Amino acid sequence: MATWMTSDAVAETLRIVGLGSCVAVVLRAVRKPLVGVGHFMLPARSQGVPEDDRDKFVDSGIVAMAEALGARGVPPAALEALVAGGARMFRGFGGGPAIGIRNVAAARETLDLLGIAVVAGDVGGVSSRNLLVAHCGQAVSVAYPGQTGHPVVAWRDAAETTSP
Amino acid sequence: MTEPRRLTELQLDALREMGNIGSGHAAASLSTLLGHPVRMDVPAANLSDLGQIGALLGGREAMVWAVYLTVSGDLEGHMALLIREAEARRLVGVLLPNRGAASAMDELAESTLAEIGNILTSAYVGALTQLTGFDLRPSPPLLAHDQAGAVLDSLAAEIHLAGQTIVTLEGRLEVPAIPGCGVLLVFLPPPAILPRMFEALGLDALR
Repeated sequence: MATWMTSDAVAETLRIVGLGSCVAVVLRAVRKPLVGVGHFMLPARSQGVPEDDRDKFVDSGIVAMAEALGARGVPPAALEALVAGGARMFRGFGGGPAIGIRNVAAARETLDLLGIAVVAGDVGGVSSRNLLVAHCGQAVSVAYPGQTGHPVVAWRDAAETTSP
Repeated sequence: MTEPRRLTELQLDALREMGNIGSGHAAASLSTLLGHPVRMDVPAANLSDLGQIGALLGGREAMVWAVYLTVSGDLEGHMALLIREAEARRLVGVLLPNRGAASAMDELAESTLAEIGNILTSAYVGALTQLTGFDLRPSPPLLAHDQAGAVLDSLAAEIHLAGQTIVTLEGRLEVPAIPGCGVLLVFLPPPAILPRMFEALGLDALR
């Protein structure tokens, strides 16, 4: 699953479930109610099958989402980003594949190129996440359904964390 | 990229037959392990994005256990054993009866599931080796215990990174003596090697 969408409906809550090694990027407008939420599977389009859907990739997916927000009147300079996901889902000999880490790195790099500040993050770890994005990105919470007893984390501005 | 986007009915039949043979060997191993007969569904062959497997497992948020490994050598591919949470508990309950079915899935239960994955996938790969004469080497298994959506997305990402579109061969193994106990075996050969596989199966006409 890889896709993105935008919304200006303050009452709408967007949900991402089963975020594993994929990365989720929330782009919220600083001055008006507008948000983009994306869920991407692979780091860079250049490394994939050429005819693949560009929404599958972190780099091309974020650019497409930022363009759509631009078309709705908010340029990159008036956006801020929240980044989540990139867990290592499989464990075993050699530590397991590191695709999650590469997805997170690709997200940071793409956001940096676009000039969008990353104000919060919850990345890495070994568990999947579920995200709730409410009030056009002003209230975001992260849950870890695979970990019993792990609290839901409510994101606050400028607080970058790495999950357990 | 010249990889097929579609498979003919004949090719799908050949793939299903291969899945049948692999799953048959895996079923025999599971039966030996559990001491109960194991029933095997006719495997399905699809060109897909793993989405329908998610539905079989109970949706993106359903907790599953997954054992994943790659096959290298004369033929490359990916293989996964997927077990729903409740079924994993029952399996472990049969294999480790003194723990009681209700006890938490601890480290011992975890390594038991990894071993089940190891045994079933080895049987499957062994059957393919016999069938094709190819030298096939399975990697050490990796284990995941998490939401089905997250596990399947990660699997799909690994396969895409290897430059492969996805052919899935999936077969479900049921244990009638243990109600509600079954596992899903998925073999994901890259489409580029399908002609060689068909040739090894004596189906040159399908190339």
